[in-house]
Amino acid sequence: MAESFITFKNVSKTYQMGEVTIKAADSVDFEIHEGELALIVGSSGAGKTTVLNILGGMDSADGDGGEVWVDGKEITRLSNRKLTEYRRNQVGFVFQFYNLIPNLTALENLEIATQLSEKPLAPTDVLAQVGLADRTENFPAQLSGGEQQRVSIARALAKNPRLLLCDEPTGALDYATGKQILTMLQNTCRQTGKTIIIITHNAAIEPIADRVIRMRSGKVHQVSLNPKPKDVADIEW
Amino acid sequence: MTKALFRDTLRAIRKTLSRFISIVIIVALGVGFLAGLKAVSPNMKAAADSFYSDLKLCDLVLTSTVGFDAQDRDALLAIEGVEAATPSRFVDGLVYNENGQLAQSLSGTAYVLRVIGYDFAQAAGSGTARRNQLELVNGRFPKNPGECVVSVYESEINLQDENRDRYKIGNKISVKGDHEDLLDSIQTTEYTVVGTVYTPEFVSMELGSSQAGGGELCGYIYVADSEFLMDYYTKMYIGIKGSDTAAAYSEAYDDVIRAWKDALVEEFSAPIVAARAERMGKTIAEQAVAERKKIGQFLTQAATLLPILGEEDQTAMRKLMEQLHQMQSSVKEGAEAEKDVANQILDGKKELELARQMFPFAEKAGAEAPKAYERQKAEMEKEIADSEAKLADGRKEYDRQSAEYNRQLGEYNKKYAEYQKAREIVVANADAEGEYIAGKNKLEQAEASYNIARSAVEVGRSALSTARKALDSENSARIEHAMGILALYFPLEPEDTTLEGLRKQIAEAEIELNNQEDALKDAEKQIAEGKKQMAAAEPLMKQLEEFRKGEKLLAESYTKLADAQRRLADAQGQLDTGTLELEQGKRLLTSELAKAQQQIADGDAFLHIMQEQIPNSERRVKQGENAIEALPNAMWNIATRDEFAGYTNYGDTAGNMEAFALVFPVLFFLIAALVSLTTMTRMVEDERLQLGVLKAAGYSSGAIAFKYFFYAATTAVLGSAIGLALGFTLIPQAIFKAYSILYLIPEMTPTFYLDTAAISLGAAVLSTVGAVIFAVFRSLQLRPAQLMRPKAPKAGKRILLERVTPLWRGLSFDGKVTVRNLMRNKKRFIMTFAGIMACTALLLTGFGIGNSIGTMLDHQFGSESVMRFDGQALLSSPITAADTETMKVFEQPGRIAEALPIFMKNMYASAPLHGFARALEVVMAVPRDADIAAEFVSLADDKSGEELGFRDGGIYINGKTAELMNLKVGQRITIESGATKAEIPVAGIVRNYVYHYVYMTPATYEAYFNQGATQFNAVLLKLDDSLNVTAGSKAAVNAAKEAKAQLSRDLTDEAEVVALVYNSAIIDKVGAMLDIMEKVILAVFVMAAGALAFVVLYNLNNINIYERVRELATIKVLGFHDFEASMYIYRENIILTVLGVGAGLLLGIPIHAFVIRTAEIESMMFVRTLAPFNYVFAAIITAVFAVGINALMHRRIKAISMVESLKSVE
Repeated sequence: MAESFITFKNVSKTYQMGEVTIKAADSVDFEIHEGELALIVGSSGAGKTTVLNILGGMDSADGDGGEVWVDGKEITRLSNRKLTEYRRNQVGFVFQFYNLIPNLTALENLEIATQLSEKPLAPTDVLAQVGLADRTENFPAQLSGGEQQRVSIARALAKNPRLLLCDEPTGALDYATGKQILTMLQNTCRQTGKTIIIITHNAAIEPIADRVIRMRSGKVHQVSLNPKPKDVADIEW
Repeated sequence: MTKALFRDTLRAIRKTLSRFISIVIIVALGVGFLAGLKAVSPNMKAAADSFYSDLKLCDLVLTSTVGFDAQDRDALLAIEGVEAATPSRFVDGLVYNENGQLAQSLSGTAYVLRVIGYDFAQAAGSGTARRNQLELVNGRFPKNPGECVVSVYESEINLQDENRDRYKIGNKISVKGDHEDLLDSIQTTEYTVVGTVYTPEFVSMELGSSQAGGGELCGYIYVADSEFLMDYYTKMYIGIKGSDTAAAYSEAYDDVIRAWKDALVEEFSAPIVAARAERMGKTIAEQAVAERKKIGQFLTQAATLLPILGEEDQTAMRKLMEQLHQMQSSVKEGAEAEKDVANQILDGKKELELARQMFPFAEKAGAEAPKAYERQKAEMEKEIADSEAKLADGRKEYDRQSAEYNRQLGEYNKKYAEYQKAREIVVANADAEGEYIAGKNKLEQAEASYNIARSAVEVGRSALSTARKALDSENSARIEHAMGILALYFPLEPEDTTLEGLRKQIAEAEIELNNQEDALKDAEKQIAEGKKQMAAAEPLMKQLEEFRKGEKLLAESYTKLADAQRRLADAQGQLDTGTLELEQGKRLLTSELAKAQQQIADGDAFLHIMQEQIPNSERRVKQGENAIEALPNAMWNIATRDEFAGYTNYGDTAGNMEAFALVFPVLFFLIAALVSLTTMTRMVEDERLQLGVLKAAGYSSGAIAFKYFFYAATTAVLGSAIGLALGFTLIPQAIFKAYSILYLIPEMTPTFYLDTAAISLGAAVLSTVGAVIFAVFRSLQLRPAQLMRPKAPKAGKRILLERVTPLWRGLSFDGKVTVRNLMRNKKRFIMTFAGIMACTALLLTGFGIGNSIGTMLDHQFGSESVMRFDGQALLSSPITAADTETMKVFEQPGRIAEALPIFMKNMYASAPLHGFARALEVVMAVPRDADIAAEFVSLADDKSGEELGFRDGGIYINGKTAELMNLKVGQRITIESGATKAEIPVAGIVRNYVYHYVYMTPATYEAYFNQGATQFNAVLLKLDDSLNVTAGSKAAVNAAKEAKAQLSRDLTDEAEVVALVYNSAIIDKVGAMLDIMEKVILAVFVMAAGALAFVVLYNLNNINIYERVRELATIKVLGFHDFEASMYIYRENIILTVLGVGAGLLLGIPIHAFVIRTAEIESMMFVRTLAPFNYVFAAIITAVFAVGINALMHRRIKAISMVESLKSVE
């Protein structure tokens, strides 16, 4: 059996909101293998984004002995600086609302990411890959949502990370565009062998993933493996 | 407004407390500066007004061509509306230091002191009627003659230490008239300071002008009015009813006074002046008579001359005296004289003419008497010399005799000693001599009898032997014969002639003979014994003999001694007689000479009386004549409070502050308004969602807007309250304090100015509330749904620069991003830029003012500056260019490098043709040598700094004068002083910073002023380098200082030099004051700039970060380190800072220029340029502020939570 690339062991995350304590993640345990397209599925507030944030080094888990391992490193123990390095070189993020920098062109939005990383891909190539070869000089405001999300994916990819984290990447997109994006992600996973984790509340797209982690109320409810994931084009929702 | 909304508003304030506070602070800053600076001028004026009211500063100053007396005052008081009329008088004189040197003012002219009369008795209780009152501060008012009080300003505030010392309580101030005897006008010229006072007449350093000395009034003391001898007052201080209701310096006040100023002269003066003229006429008549009586006294005094004069002269003199005597008979008294004033004066003049004619005789006598005196003296001295020679011979004889006597005395003494010694022996052996003589006689007798006996014996023996033989021969005859012989010697019995018998007898004779021989032998023995004794006594006898001889010698010696003594006595007698004679001679000489001297003195005295009194009398008579002539034209002159230089000065300063208040606070306020506007706009935009919700819920726009209105209004009101509270108190206080070293006005009460407060508050409320309302209503125009959607971030856009492709390509990626970000929010860009620019400009202005004030003296004095000489010596009497003798005093190798005679005089300049009609006090300087003048005083062009050279034909005026009079090269300036006046074309406008100096070559001066050869009254000195050590080891500096002090002492010891003032003394004193001012100004500006930079940058950065938190979170997620993330923002700030600093440095130049011109007083020109380091410091400090604020911002950027910031809007 392949070595697990990502391991969550007993990871919890509690938020203090005034007098209310919210347990966003509650003893989360799961594994993801390298090269897998993993889907974390759950309804709003199930804790899936929390898990993603912790995995992405954007948030820290409770210090109660929970462990997060990525590629043999325990990221919960990394210093702030190491965590930034980790974000810089290992992880690519795709957000629901793209979070492109509005004042930078598509190409520049990639460049701002690539100038940091160790072994980036050529931004124009990546943009071409996502089908935006002719929109490189456009500002985000001049792009449609789907195009923006593609720029966002391209930005994540251009850093050439081993791990791609996508938070509801289709959440703000219409069906067709969403499908397009998912296809792109699936293809990327298959063609480049990158590990991709997608967060979604849409259980209908579960079949496209290698691994599906279902969450409910901050806990991992169920993990299932698809030996034969379907193509995005083949599913409907 | 609902409760919920109200709660929401309060909560909004609590939640955004830092934003709330920052707006409050910036509003407070803006309002504080606006209100505070605006309040300075009215506050200063109010402080002065209250001071003037307390001490009843007069409104108008009257002077009259005929003076004033008590009746004038009463007449003035009788005018309806004239509340007070206080007469005053003064004399001006020169002050001398304790060492007898003429004291000097800062500008190097003679120190002119005004002695002002003040009725202290009246001051005690006479309330409102009196004007220009004095208020006692320390000590007491004068009680006794010869006491004075001085101004607190002079004794405590004045910047010149030595002046402060001069005016300390207990000190004596003595004053001497300048070409007049002050004792004609005042009782005494030495006054003891007994107290210090406040006076409203002199509230600044500038005291006005004087007729004495160099024309600059330098100090003043108040003495009892009773010290004055003159019978009139020179000034009348007028108080106008109702003037105290209008504040000093106000338009209202000017209006009140303007009306009165003309009315007093035009409507009221005529009768009062006429009455005065009538009284004057009487006085003049009295004076004329008094003078004529004085002339009468000449007669008696002139008589003293007669013995000195030769016969011819005596006759002439007698004739004059007779004429004078006759004239005197026309002297009239009282009313008669009054009617006859003109004749009295005329006769007086004639008499004076006669007196004048006596003058040559007096002079002759004055010249003759000493000669006669010398002659007589010489004669008598010769006699005395003879006596003295004789006396010397006598003394020689006496000395000889005395020596002889002494020798004899020595001899005698020696002999006497010997005699005494011998005598002692003689006395001890008093009997021995008798014995010896007796013994000797006896011995002689014994010897004689022995010899007789012996010869008898021998004869006996031979007779015997003959007898025997005869016997033997029996020659009876012979026996008989022998027997007879024998019988001669021996008692023989002659009868028995028998042989037997003979035999028997022979035998018997023989026995007898033997017996006798035995007896002889005994006698022989006795004689030998006696002889031995005699021999033993022999030395004594010899001594005795010697003694006898000595006795005789002693007697002889004594005789000789007595002889010598007699002769000595003779010599002594002669000597005594000689001495007596000599003394008598001398006494005679003394008494004769004294007599002669008395004559000379009498002559001198008369000459003196003539020299002194005649001109005095002439003057008085002339005055009388003039007065009589003037009486018909007698008139008043009137002046306003402008008469008091301090009043005007202070007003100007307060006015300058008004100009200040125009620029700075407005600048501040504008920025404050902009910042609050941005912040409030931001706040509204942040809450657009809520606006949408509320709008959707059906709240009216007004209700929704109220929250923001309330928020903004609260900040505006709170900020304004704080700003007003601090601004109205701190700023006027601080500035008033700073000015308190220049002005006497003792205290200022910070006042609340409703109008200023209302304007500031209004502006603050308007800008914040207006901003927020504008933003709210703009948002509220949108539909709720639109509002509830997040406002789309401002779209990225190509900027102009990108079209300049080569340039754009040249930029790094970060550069491009930064530039585009900068362009994205132009409002913020401009405001940050403006904030930094203002900060830098303020700093540059602050440093610049520091530079302008601080280096003014460096620019004025020093080897590279305007005044390149080191000191200035005042000459006791002026010299011409030809006079090289006097200049020898300044030939001091190793101490004085160069010396240049110069003529300096205070003059009045004006340029009526160019609209400058009033008189500006300038110092006119005419250096002897045109070619070396530049080494002493630089004549550099005011604008270009190029040396102009010094040529004949025009006047070189300083830049400030040119500026005040709006004069250009070639135009004409009027220079005047008293009767001398000239219009001279301007040859050059030269650089100068302190006072006004105008320069001319001697040729120009002589040409324009017709004064003959220029009389140089001062000498400029350049010291040897060894005396100019100001840096380096302390010992060296002190040595140089000591050397300078020594030079000063040495030079002023010379008769030619009255005083010596070093420029370094001025630099030291004024420098200390300027130093403080520089520091205060710098502190104010740095603090203001810092506050401005902080509030503006902090706020804008805050907003910037807040607006771009998502962007920042994104790049953090992308793996930007904290510092890299901060740099993402900083790059923009750095550019803005650099640009702002650059612009600020440019903006600071005109602001600095404006401030400097505003702050400049008339007699100074600050250095108007900025020093390179000013720019450097301004830039560096701004950068430091910027860096500090950015460092604060780093913490905020670091604290940005990626998760929170990127949370999807759900």
